[in-house]
Amino acid sequence: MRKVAVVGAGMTLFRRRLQETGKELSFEATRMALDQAKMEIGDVDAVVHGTAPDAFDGVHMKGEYLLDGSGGTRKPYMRVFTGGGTGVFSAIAGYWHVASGLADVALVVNEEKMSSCQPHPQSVFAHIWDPILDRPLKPNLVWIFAMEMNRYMTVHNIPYEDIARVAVKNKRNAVGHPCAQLADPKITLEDVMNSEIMAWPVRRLDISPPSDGAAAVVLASEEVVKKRKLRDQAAWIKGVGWCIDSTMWTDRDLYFPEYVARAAKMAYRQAKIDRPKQQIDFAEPYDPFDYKELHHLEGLGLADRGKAGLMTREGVTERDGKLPVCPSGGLLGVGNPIAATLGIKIGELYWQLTGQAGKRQIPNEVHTGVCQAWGDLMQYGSVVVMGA
Amino acid sequence: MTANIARWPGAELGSKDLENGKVTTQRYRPDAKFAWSAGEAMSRFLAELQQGRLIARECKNCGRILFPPRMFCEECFRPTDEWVYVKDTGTIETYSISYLDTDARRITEPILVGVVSVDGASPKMGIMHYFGEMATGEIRIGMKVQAKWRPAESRVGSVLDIEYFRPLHGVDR
Amino acid sequence: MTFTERTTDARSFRHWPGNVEADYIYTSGIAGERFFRELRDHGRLMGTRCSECGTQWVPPKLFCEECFKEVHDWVELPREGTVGAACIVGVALDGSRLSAPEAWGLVRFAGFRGGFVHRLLVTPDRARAGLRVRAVLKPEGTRTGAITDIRGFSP
Ligand SMILES: [Zn+2]
Ligand SMILES: [Zn+2]
Repeated sequence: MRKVAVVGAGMTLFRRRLQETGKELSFEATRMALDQAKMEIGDVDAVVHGTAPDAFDGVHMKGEYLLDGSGGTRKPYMRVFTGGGTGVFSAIAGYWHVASGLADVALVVNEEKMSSCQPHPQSVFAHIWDPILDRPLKPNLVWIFAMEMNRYMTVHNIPYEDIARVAVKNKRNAVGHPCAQLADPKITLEDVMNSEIMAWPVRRLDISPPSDGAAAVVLASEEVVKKRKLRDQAAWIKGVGWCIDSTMWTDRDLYFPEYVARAAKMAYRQAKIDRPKQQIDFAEPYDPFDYKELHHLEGLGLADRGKAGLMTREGVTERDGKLPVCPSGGLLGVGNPIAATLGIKIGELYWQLTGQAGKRQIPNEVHTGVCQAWGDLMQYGSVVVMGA
Repeated sequence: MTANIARWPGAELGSKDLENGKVTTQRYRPDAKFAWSAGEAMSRFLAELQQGRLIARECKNCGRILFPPRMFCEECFRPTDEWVYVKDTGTIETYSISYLDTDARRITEPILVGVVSVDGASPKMGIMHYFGEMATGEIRIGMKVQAKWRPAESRVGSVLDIEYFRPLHGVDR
Repeated sequence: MTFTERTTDARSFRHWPGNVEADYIYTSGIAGERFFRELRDHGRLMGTRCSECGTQWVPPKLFCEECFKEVHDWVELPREGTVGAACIVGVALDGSRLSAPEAWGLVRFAGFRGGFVHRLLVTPDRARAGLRVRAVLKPEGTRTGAITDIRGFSP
């Protein structure tokens, strides 16, 4: 397989409501990524679009709908969708195009416009449940996360405050992010711990907000990087992995994300990583809920099982800590336009590894980072390892 | 170069801007009605619920008793072999105390909901359901529970034929 | 190898009925906002023109699909368009029979990429490609900034 680099990234603001159409958001992010890569649309050989359920935007066949704003017209183009995992998975699909030699330059564009859905995107989440086993019980999406969080906390005896600390850290980290929706420099542990109970143990500030937004990255082969003299602004994709566990979620023990562990194993093997704790300098795990950052750090092998909360308490995962985690501010701080979180996962790895993260730049030198996204019925993991 | 980008695109709208006509909008309420076929395994499962029983399928290859029942084993990827009744008792694997209803509206009387692994099925195999006859301070992971069935004449062949799971006293593990 | 047992009595099959409920409000977007305001407030149909390649777009786009550059120039459409294709519709959205068939068509404008799919305000026998048409708008004051502010296109 050929070496593949990210050579440009772009994103829009993440906000609860944006006026732009999904096409316009896709265009803005894509245009920025192309400008950063010093390329025009004619330089792009293939386009991958990532976007979550059609039910959020309220447009069926969203891949086709968003095509013109994504630069895919009359090119090899595909839409990928792996639930919340799309934010990282679409970049994996873009990677195949270039690594295989089928394309020299591939564009990856992700979009979400959740504000179309009234009164709240949560109402269409109801349609992801099994219509016969689950839906008659009128479930709310937060329930499954509450159940997973409870199982995780109980099995490992993790105090709630160690989980709430993640929300504090990420919302503070987001202060340096120009696109952030929920950055809060003054937020305290008490604010999170005293926020309204939504579905115990989940409180309001444990949850990332629904957002509108788009993000894009440009992937290029090693030859393109050389020929166009992009080495200084290239970050290399070292390994990719993805995995899904059983849809029969009531038959699984939710305390550990086996799907993330397997996806990470696949990515680490390719990236020649056998001691992730020593070899990985920083991480952008998926954090739609604060406990998920901890859960995923354990799945990624960056923390021992049940110990990620302790790492957070000890400051290891702060931006200036030994293992900075979600230096972008994550979904909790920057926002959660499902697939468009590409911009704070792959995008953040890219900007950090090329020294372009500005106020968010990790003070210690970083050479290797890992990002991960998660989705579907608590069952899907996508993992990408990148290096400078 | 994020540090050098002067303008990050995106025109933010406030929560009322859609209703008060600040911008032009189009409203759409799709009318989508469905009848989901229960298929082979779930049809039998629902029929048994109506009789006040829980049923599973056994895979003779891996020896697992699969609950809820299905006609194929996803581990062995072969058809399952036999119908097996399981008990209407089980263990709370996890739960939530929800102050949100299905549309994310706030409610004052919380819903107790969680996963019950049922006795007689393979370990950890269960269903999501409500809990009742217990206080919010009483519920805990590991608690033994039993189905509270609706009266036979009001059962329709639905997971709601079980009203909720309630504490099974005296046999706590 | 398939299932070892199958129900052959269709009466024992069950199903679970339900509605997939959803409710949406779509914004017109940046280009769409200007387009609908011009239509609602001034009764004008506008397109955009790419300064890079000269392509003119209707409905207007914020960006040029060809050169993938942002588009800034606005131009008014010619008063007359041409039906590019037409069809006669006899069935309503829910599958029921319409009391009278309706003519619908794709209306294009000279020099512009794109067009409108809209009602043709003619008897079905006159609906054909090549017909020259003009937009018929709802009266000022009743327009809301939607594609339905155009009642249809008539010769
Ligand atoms: Zn088996
Ligand atoms: Zn152009």
